[in-house]
Amino acid sequence: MKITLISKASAILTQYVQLDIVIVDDNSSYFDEAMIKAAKTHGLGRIKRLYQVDRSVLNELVRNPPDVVILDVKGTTSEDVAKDGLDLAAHLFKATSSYIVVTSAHKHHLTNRTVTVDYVLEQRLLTVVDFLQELRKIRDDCLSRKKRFYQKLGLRAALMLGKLAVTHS
Amino acid sequence: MELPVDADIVTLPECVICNRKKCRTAPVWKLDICEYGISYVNDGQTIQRANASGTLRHLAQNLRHELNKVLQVVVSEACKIDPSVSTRRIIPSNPASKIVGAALIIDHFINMISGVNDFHADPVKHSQLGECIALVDVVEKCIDIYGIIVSTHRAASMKVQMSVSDTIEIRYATSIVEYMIAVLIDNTYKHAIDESLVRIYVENVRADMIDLVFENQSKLLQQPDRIFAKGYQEKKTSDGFGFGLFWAQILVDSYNAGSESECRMQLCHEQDFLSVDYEVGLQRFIIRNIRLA
Repeated sequence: MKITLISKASAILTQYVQLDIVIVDDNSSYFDEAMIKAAKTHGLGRIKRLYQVDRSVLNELVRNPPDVVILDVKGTTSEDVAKDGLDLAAHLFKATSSYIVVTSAHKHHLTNRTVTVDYVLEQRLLTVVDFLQELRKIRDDCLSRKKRFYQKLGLRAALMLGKLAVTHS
Repeated sequence: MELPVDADIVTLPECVICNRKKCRTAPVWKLDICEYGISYVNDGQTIQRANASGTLRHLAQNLRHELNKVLQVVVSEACKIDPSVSTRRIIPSNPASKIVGAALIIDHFINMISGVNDFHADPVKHSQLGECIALVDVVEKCIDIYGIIVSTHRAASMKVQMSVSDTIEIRYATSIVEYMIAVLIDNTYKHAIDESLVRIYVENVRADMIDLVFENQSKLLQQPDRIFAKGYQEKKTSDGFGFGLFWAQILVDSYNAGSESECRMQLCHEQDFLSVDYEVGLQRFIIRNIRLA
């Protein structure tokens, strides 16, 4: 039983490397509770849902950058912080190691303007299933491009747990 | 010669509203208004422009901004009925999925009817940050979505024969390609003979581009050369106002405007006779030179 548990823990740790994700969108219809709950259940991240970025939130994002920041372009920044979400995204992209994602209902504006981000979430209308798929893509890309040591750390822990399982068997 | 008193006058070397820029060739000091509601005059050195008080662009942005969140509410509520629904694939027999499909149709129409002029972006290259999408998924989604609409003016059912490999992927301007496919599929539902064969296939496959063909059987067109004209309807009783294919051409312009490739996308139409009495025609719509991922 104990060995099975350790093995399972090892497998889970390998497969799911928890990321700290901050989602900023002024409208609660998007990235709603059901989506966030499903993401947490599937081990796709520790998610913090915000509605606007003011000066104190910005300082926190820069001081303690999360692994992933998902930003709506319009209505998510106060005037003293940035012109819009895209400007904020560009600033965070340069100032932090966070994986920056932007989204907007005006999606072709995202692809028609040079944006300095890691990923453009083009589909604005999302079901829970769509959101989980997008999060998996973001997680995998983030781990491969920006968070390699997390993946290695997770794998080392998984291997250690795996060895423990073999030793005790 | 003076511009309107309440005009917001700007003098910029490039207008971001459209790609055609007919205003550039306007006679000097002749005040005119373009089809997007922008009044302009060529002063010999620059084009002076004044936005109308409520341009289509303003309407499009407002409509999209206000309605998109309402559509998300609709989608979220559909998820409560069936958590397995997705916007990537619509299952017409599933009520919750149909609700999502209806929301997607509204989203398409908002972007096309009110916002198609918004696709006239300044010539910034389309971002390459978008995801790769299998072309067959886009086509199948549009077939399912637009099959939701039921009307006496639309084909109730069609026999769709699809020959698009799932290895064909697009990445460049995928939204524009999706809207074009949506227009052609919707057009097919509107005009195809009920129970007739609809073929969708790929031809002229190259390393970096393909042509996508939509073939359907409909009543013979008497003026096929006008099929892309704004407001043209073969029959006055048909569903719609004759703008879909015109807008599809505008999408082609936008696709090409942001493209670095010398090979330009084209939307073409061909008609063949199918019946002896010249009543039934085979319509072929070809999107040429779709860039592959």
